[in-house]
Amino acid sequence: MDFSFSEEQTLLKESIERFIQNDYGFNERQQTVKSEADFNVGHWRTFAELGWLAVPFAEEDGGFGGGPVESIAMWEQFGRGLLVEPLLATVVLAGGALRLAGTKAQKQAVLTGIINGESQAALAFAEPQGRYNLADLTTAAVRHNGGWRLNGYKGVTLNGPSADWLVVSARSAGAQRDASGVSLFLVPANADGVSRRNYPTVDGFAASEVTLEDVDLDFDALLGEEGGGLPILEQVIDEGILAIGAEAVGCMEVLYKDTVEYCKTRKQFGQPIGKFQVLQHRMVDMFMEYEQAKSLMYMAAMRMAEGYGPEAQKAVSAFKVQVGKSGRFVGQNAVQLHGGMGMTDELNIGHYFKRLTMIDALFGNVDYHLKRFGSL
Amino acid sequence: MTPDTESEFAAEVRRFLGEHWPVPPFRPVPRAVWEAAADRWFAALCRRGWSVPAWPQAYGGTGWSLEQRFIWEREVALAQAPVMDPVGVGLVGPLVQAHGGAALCERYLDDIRVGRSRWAAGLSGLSVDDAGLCALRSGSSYALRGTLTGISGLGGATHALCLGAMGGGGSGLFAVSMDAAGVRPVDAQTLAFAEVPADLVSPPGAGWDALDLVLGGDQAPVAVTARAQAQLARLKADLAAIADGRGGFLNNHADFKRRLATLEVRLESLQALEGRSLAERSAGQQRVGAWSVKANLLALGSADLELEVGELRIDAAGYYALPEPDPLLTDNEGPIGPGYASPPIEGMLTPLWALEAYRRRLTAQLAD
Repeated sequence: MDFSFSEEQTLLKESIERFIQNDYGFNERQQTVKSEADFNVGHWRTFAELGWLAVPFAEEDGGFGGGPVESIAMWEQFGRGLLVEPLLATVVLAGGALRLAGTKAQKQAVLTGIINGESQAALAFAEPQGRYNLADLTTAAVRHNGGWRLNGYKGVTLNGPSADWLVVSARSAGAQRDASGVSLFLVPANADGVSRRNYPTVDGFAASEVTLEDVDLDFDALLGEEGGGLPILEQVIDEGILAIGAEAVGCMEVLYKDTVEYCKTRKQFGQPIGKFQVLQHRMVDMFMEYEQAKSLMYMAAMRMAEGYGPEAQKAVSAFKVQVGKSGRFVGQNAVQLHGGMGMTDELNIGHYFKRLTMIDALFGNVDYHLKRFGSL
Repeated sequence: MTPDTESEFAAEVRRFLGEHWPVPPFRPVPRAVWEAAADRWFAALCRRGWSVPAWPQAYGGTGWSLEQRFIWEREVALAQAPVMDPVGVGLVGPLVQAHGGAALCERYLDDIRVGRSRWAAGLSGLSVDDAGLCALRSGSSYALRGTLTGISGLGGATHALCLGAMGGGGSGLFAVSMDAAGVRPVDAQTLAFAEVPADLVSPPGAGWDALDLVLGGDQAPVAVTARAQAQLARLKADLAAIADGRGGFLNNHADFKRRLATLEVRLESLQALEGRSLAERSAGQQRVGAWSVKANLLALGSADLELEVGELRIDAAGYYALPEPDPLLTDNEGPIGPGYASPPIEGMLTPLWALEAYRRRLTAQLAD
């Protein structure tokens, strides 16, 4: 197996690395999080100029045709910087659904704006009663006046507040949890009948509860096959897991290295606390967890690159399980090792911990993916 | 206390809570409603003479036995009633009583007891070498200079308790009025000091030790497991209300049942330990004014349990772990998503910070 990046992939990774190092300071990130704005618009423009928003899209759609390997190369760096700009929601999730299922016209209408940084999008797929089951939908789509009419409620829609476009999953046929009968729709966020209740998330992002009340859409708002939306949704979510999993690996790297550095310099009883054996062992375990997560990241990316199917799904679930476990271990120990001995870096460390905890909750936690892994 | 008088006292406490803290536990209420209720609750505490139960009676304490204090703290925690000025009552009061002398007692204690002051705590940067705050002796008093960050409860505070480095080495705890000339807020957690007059409320050079003694001292909380107990009760109710995406609810899932039961068993064992520790203290078998081994074990076990309850609550909430938890609603829209509010992740960070300190102290105690 070849675990090295190509020259192009390395250039991409390094350009993000440089940006994080030179232009994405932690204090400034915190100012963005605390401000009214959900993210830094100037940074977003930079992302568009540098082409990062175009990476996963096909060349004929104005993209670079990047795949899973490009994805992990980018997201590991985003994780190191703890980026709060909505790349996941706009590019990976909503953009992913369009990439996989959009018609030429739909792509032109929406992807162009996403790629040049002018449009924001969100995937409204979760529902309160559905937990992690993508097919458990009470939002309904019926044919109406030659088009579609949507009614229902979507929960925790990441980037909902800024989104110009919502990709909404709704049931167009079948019973509440049937695998078939799920359809995806491309909904302008300002359409009549769409209302959003916006709120911040604990990890610095923004999300919305979305209510759909007699939202009337043209017939061509349907994204992909009627009733065939579930497989699209599954693949998009798996691509999302690869992205946030790689982000988590980046977070863990920062936490691990910070903790080692801290223990080298912090003195107690006249010697650096890193000399205490019990702390050394804890750091070895943190390193082990980080390396295991990173290894499964490469494995999952390669399986996804070989083609989307049960093997790729299994690898993604395995990766998500490991990320959940490792993230918890590395995050908690980093907080503990810093916390007990003076809380100098508390803000920084605490925010990485929160993001790692939320990454576990996103798209299915450890328990969920253990079961999925076992059933595939 | 006999079991009879114990349950009588518990009933009295519950009646008092029912009358003066009518807000149901764990249900989000509008901020204005909650704040008004809290003001009335604090006023009721002061009227009844229950605002500083653990203080010596000479300063307005209740003179309750340890068992009574235990019952009081447990019931307040289970009802999720707010604690009045935790820094002022729990830290500043005992510090001033022990180290402040008559003048400082006069200056601070009454205002704390009747809720006229409210204290912020600037105790971060716990190691002296990176203290951003220095105390300089000026005559018989002190002046603070520098910047202190990581201050909690700054909003609405009238005073701050600050840990600063002292000229003669070591650290000191200082009481500062927010109105004093030279105090400048930098952000929600940071204050800048320019030659600010301050009162020393610890032995000079031993601020951190004095704080540690107060945290483990005879006025420290007795009902240590009550918070975990309340959170577990909340979790149990949540599990019955959170849908599993398969047409059922989480309380019917074997893995959630098992994890919940495991935590309940741990709570039981911690409460048994709590009972033993309380009995020892009542019988005068524990050193007063210092952390006992059992108190330390209890603190460690409870922090660890709270952490795991927090983890399970986040696991149970699914996507609804994400909304920034605001126990108070800023508008009249009701809580976000389904009825259960998202679990507070800060509630996990706090025990995590503390675990290492408990472990270290326990290590030292066991090695002795």
